[in-house]
This record gives sequence, structure tokens and C-alpha cells, in this order.
Amino acid sequence: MTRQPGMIAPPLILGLLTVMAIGIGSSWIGPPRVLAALFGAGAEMDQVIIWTLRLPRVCLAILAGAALALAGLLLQRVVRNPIASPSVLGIVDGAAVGVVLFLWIWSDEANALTVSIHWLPLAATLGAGCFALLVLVLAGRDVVQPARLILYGIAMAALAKALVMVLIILGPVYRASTALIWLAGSVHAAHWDDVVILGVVLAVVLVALVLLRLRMDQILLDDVSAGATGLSVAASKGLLLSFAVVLTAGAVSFAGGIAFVGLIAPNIARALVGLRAGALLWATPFVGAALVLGADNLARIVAFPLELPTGAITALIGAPYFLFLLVRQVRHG
Amino acid sequence: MMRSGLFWLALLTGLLALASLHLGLRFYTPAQVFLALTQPDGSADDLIITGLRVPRTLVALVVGAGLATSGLLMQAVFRNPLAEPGLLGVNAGASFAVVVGFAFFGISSLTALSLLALGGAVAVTAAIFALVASFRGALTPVSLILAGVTLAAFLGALTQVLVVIDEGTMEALLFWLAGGFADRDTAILWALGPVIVLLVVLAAPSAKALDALATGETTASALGVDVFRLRLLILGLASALAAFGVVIAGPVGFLGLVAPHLARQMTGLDHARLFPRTALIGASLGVLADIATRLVVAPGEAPITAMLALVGAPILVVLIRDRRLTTGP
Amino acid sequence: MVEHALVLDDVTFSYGESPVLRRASQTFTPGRLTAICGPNGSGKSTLLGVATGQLAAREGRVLLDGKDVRGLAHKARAQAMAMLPQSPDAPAELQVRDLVALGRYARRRPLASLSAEDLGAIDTALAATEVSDLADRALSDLSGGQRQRAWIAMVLAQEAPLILLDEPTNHLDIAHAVETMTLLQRLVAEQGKTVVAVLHDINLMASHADEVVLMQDGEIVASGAFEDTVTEAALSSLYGRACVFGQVPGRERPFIVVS
Repeated sequence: MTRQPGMIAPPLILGLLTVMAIGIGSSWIGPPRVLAALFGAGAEMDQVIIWTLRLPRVCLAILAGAALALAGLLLQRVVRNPIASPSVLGIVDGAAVGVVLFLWIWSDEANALTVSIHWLPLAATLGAGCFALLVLVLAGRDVVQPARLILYGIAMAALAKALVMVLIILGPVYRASTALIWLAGSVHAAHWDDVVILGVVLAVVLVALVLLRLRMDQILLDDVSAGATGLSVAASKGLLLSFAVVLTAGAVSFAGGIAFVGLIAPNIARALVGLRAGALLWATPFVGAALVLGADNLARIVAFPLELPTGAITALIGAPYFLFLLVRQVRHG
Repeated sequence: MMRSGLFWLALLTGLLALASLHLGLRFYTPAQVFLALTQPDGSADDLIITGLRVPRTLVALVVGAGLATSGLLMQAVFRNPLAEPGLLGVNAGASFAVVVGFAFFGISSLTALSLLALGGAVAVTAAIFALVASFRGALTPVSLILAGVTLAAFLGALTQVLVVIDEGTMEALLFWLAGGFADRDTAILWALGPVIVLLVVLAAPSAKALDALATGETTASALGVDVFRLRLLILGLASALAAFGVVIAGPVGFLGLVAPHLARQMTGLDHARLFPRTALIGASLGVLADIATRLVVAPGEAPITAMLALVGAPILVVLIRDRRLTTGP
Repeated sequence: MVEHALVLDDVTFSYGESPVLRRASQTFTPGRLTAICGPNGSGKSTLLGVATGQLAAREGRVLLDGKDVRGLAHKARAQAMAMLPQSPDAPAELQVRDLVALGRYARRRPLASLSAEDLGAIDTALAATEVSDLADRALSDLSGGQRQRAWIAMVLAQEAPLILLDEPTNHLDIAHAVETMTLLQRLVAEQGKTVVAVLHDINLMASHADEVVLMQDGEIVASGAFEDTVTEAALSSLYGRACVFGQVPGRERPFIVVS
């Protein structure tokens, strides 16, 4: 039932984009040299540049893309509609509120953080979780009407953005600049530390999801039917939703919210491998990672030496795609 | 009853405008303000009052009234209480057109930029109108707004790309693009402000026809309203109001949503009553939000978009809760 | 086969103050097709909701094999009782076989792929509902009647002895409706299932039901074997319209004309 080419293509494309992404920089490094350096051979200079400068950034982009894509997959399953995604449900901006509050509360008089910066992803998760809950509570029974749900998300995202702006201005300069750098969603200053943390989060969630894959399949059914087949619907959806929040917050903490990836990637994966959760859990992260990396490559090439915001590129692809999905949904009632 | 409500609103708007001259990082007494306005002696305080606070208050009044009226008109034509220039992407269209003209064609004349903004706003409005028309009522109000928000996101991303590519030229535009009422180009205010006021007044005679439209397209036709022409005319007016507002103050959202909503709460669905009230509420809200930007995070100044979103987002939520929105218009 | 009994014991349910289901007691006879009939808003769907444990009764108990249905684990309940709601929904591109496989949730091992037993149950369900030929088609490619049979196949794959259906003939034309009812009748006759269906069409009830539950204003006004329960007087008072029975030569059951 699973379509083989659909399973193989995403990792292959991601591989190609990765080699390309590593090559792009102030000096172009050709694929043979990239591959040599990756496998511990080649010029020492190449190895240093690639391993310490370029690879962390590329890995972070890959992991963030994969996490956002998976979060989108989960949300689309939970609300049973392909037009849901983390950014439109207010989760991305909610994470930002968490981060700004964290920087505000845990700074001392001298503007130094009083706790480790490593707690920041947790703050992001809490913020994201609060706003996700807020949107769901507001929506109440409207959860089954995705257009309305998403509009609630847009309203709450606007509120979160406003809060972030006000909090940034209220906070002293140091905190403001830290928050701004973070909000800009940059993978420039990527460290291996970040890669490891986000990688572990992604791996743990992915394993959990593989174990939960039958539940993910079961919620393809409407709630009453799913419940009648023996699924604890509320608990399953709550669990999957909280994983979506953690993934979004993780991606946002380390790479910023990259627009529309969580929307497009699951839909592409669904077109490639079908509806089964098992296959989707494999394909979706690769598609998401490839999207972010592809957009990032484009962003760095198009106006070289200038660098465009990756999120703008994904928005230029994602917005028309969202319109397409919306129109298709309206057409089919 | 009707008259007195309007009177109090007008009074409120006037008082807020006056308060706006007194409040800020520096507080002035009424005497100081009066002196600065009547016998300016060129002191620093005079400059702040006449050079900064008077213009920003005027901008807030004019742009507030304009965007609010624009929202009311769009809501009437699309028969959708969520329609407004910000959420429908009309503001984004106007901004994008200005950025393209300024950055790529070196256009800097005020007339040309205004026309460009108008073009951008009209283009987006036309696209939205075409979308609605092509679905013949199948598009729910909520879905229409989603389409608009997405269009806005797309144009916003394009604008962002242009800003990065042409950073040198764009520096000047970044401040304008953020949207706000303070430190705006007074030349633009003097040129476009009266135009906006004129357009707001010009919209009023359409009240009867809009009332008819509200009862349904077929009914409106039966009452002798040329529905298509009316829609084009009103949308043209709404686009122009949004476009000129954007040229003066940059893209400012939520005013067009909140003001008509509050006006309807006050007076119901009669457009003859809605027009003046919406304009006055829009003007008051504009000034109020502008005062808030100065006070909330003093000594800093908060972005007007944040202030309006803090008020607008909850009202948007209230509006979405309306059951009728998921049925076709 | 164990006789699975579903018993409603003096059940009352309300959404707000006024109860939509009042003091309902009913034992659904194993191995029979029971139809629940009554005017709109008489509490038919609510009764089904309470019976399946989706809705919590305010008073009274629902017993499935002697145990409180709300106290059962989800999977244990699903193994004993399957239910098809009024408008079941799944993605349009889902293939029939994959839909039917979802019926195995309560019985399959959670971490392994479908076992030989699962596959067997799926094939049996597909065959019983005559959708084997359509197994690789997407739901959107099916006609209304075919789609309904696919959903019933999913319910069958659950291998529960007790099957509850909320208006299974809703949205079906008369031919498909009869086809669906005949299928349910066959399940009772051939597989010994206990089937409970909410039906709007009293003629479908009259031609297919073994047992009948008549509801009015949230109360069960009559129940029992078709012959004992369904009379012209009972239906006339139930719907507030004169109901007249007619006979077709060669058919035991009457047809009903409402005037």
C-alpha cells in the first residue's frame, strides 16, 4: 500500500540539499570536497570550516524543519483538517511570549540571566502550550470547524505578537536585544549544543510517535467512530497535541518560527506516501527538513552575497499553497 | 436619542484629541497647551506640542476615521463583519506597491506614491472581490478572511524580501512600514488628510443603498439598487480610504474591524447612523491607541500595531464566535 | 458464543435541566435486530449515546454483560460493542481496506503490524458486506450505498457481537436503504449478531426488525417483538397521525401508510 518512490525520494532530496547547503558560504565548496570532509578525509581547512561553521547551522535547519513538519502533521491529524499548522494556531507566537517572559523574569539587576539559558526551550514550550490551550478552549466545539479554529489562532497570534512587542520594550536593553535576536529566528550562530538538544527532543518525540502510530491512524475517523472502535479519543488527541506543542516550541527556541513549513510539509508527505501514520512519520520530517534547507539555500543564493530571510521564502511558497487548499476545501463543501 | 449619542461621541473625540496634546513623556497643563497653540514662542515645549503632538493627533484622527469607514464599507459589500483592510490584505497591497515603486523605480513624488498605494489596494480588493464572486456564496465569511490573511502574509513576505535586497533605500521606508501615528511626514498629512475627510463624507450618501444590500442581493435589486455598480463604487471608496491611510501612517490593522463593531453595538444596523459613529469611534480609537503608545511603556514608545492588537484581537474572537459566520453570506 | 447482553436500567440523561431521556429501561435481546423508532427529538440518538457509554447517564446504569459500560476500558468495551454514528467521517482518499482495518483497533496488538487473524477478519468483513471488489478504491470513489457498506464492514471487522447503528439508512436512496437493512438482517441470521438500529423510516422497520423500541418525548413508550408492539394504534399515537397497515400478497409483514 505504501508507495515506495514516495518513501525514498524525500531522504534522497534532503541529502542533495544538505551537500549543497554545506557548500554554500563565503567560499563555495564543491560536493566532492564536502563529501570528503564529511567522511573525515580531504583538506584540513575544509574539515574545520564544515564541521565547526557550516554543519551545525545545516543540522539545526534540518532539525527545525523536521520538527515543524511533524508538529504540523500532528495538528492536522488532531483537528482532522489539512489546513491546520503550528503558526496559524498561535503556537509559534505563544512560544515567543514564553521566551520573552523568561528573559524578563529571570534577569537580575545587571541584566544577566539568573538561571541557565538552557531553560529557555522549556519557557518556550510553556508559552506555546498556554496559547495552544487558549485557542482550543476558545474554539470549544468549533474545533471541528477548522476555518474558524484557524481564525481564533490568528487572533491569538496577533495578541501574542502584541504582548511580545510590549514586553520587549518594557524590558531593559540587554533583554530586548537578546529577545530580538532570538525572535528573528536565526540559525547563524548555531552551536553543536543546540543541535544536540533539539536532536534529542526530536528523537524522543519521534520514538513516542512511532509507538502511538495506531492512535494517529485511528483519529482519521470522526471522534464518535474512533471512540466506538476503542480509542480513548480525548487522551490520544491531548497527547498528540502536547507533542505538537513541544516540537513547535523546540524548533522555535533554536531556529525561530519558519512560516508555513508545518502546513506544507505534511501535505506533500501525504501526497507522496498516503495516509498511514507509519509512512508519514518517516516521510514528513524529511520533507520538512528539505523544505527548510531548500528555502535556506535559495535565500542565500538568490541575492548573493545578501541573505534573504528563510521564513520569507517559505511564506512565498506556502501562502499560495494555503490558498489552494482553502479553495479546494470550499469547492468540496 | 440618535442626536445625543452622536453628540457625546463627538465630544469624546474632541476631549481625547485635547488630552492627546497634554499627555506623553512630558505632561503639560491646559494653560501650557493653550499658550503653545495661541502664542508660540519657539521653546522646546512649544515645539513638542505644535511640532509633534498636534500632527500625530491629527494623523490619528484622520487615519482612524478613514480606516474605520473603510472597514464599515468592506463589511457592507462583503456582508462579512470580519472584513477590514488589514485582515483582507488591502493594507499589505498598498504597502507593497509603495515599496516596489520607491525601491525599484525610484518614485518619490507624493502623488505618484499615493496613486501606487491606491493601485495596490484596488488590486487586492479586486482579487478578493473576484474570489467571492467566483464562489457565488459558497465562501463563508471565515474562509474569506483566511484567504485575505494569507494574501497579506504573501505580500508581507515579498515586501520583506525587497527590504533585504535593497537595504540602503529601504532604511527610510522601514519606519513607515512599521505603521504608526507619530513622527509622520506632515506634508503627506496636509495633502492626503483632507482627501480622506472628503471621502468619509462622500461615503455617507450610500447609506440607504447599503441598508438595502444588507437585506440581500436579490432584495436590493428588487428595491432598484444597481448592486454591481454599488459594490464597485463602495469598494473603490474603501480601497482609497485604506490606501491613503497607509500612505500617511503605514499599514495599521484592526481599526477597521473594531470601530464598526462598536458602532453597531451602539446603534444597530442602520448605515445612516453607522457612518458618523464609525468615523468618530475610529478617530477616538486612533487617538486613544496613540496616547496608550506613549504611556504604557514610558519612557519607551510602544508600536501602535501592538496597542491596537491588544484591543482588536479579543474583539476579533468575540466576532468569530458569532454562529452565523460559518454559513454562507 | 457468549450471549452479550446490553441492558439499560432506569436511565435518565439531560444536557441541561430538562431530561432528553427519562427513566429508560430496556434489555436488547441477543441475536435479534432491534429497531428504535420515534418522532424527531424523541431521544433515539441520545439513547444510543448513553448505551455506548459516550454520554454519561445522570441516573440509572447501562450494563454490558453485567458491567457498567462507563467503567469498562475503551478497548474492552469496543470488543463487545461496535457502533456506527449517523454521519461517520474519514478522509476522502482513504481506501476501503484501510478504513476496514481501522475496525481492528481494539483487537490488534498495538505495536505490531496486522496479524494473519486481523487480515482474515478484514477479508471476512469485506466479503460479508460485498465490498471486496472495492477494497482498493478510495472512499470518494464510492456511491452512497457502497460507502455505507464499507463503514459497516469496518464495524464488522471489530468482531463485536453487539452492533449499534444510528440511522444507517440516512442519506441513502430506497434501494440502498433496503440493501443495507437486508445486510443487517443477514448479519443477525448468519453470524448471530445483536443489531440495534435507530430508524426513521417506519416501513424499513416494519419489513426488517425483529424487535422494536418506540420512543416519544425522551421516554420508551413500548418495546418488544415486532408483532406484539407495532400496531396501527401504537404508531398513530406515536406520530400523532393516522397510520394504516396494508398487506402485500406473499409477504408476512404489513406496509404502513401514514395519512
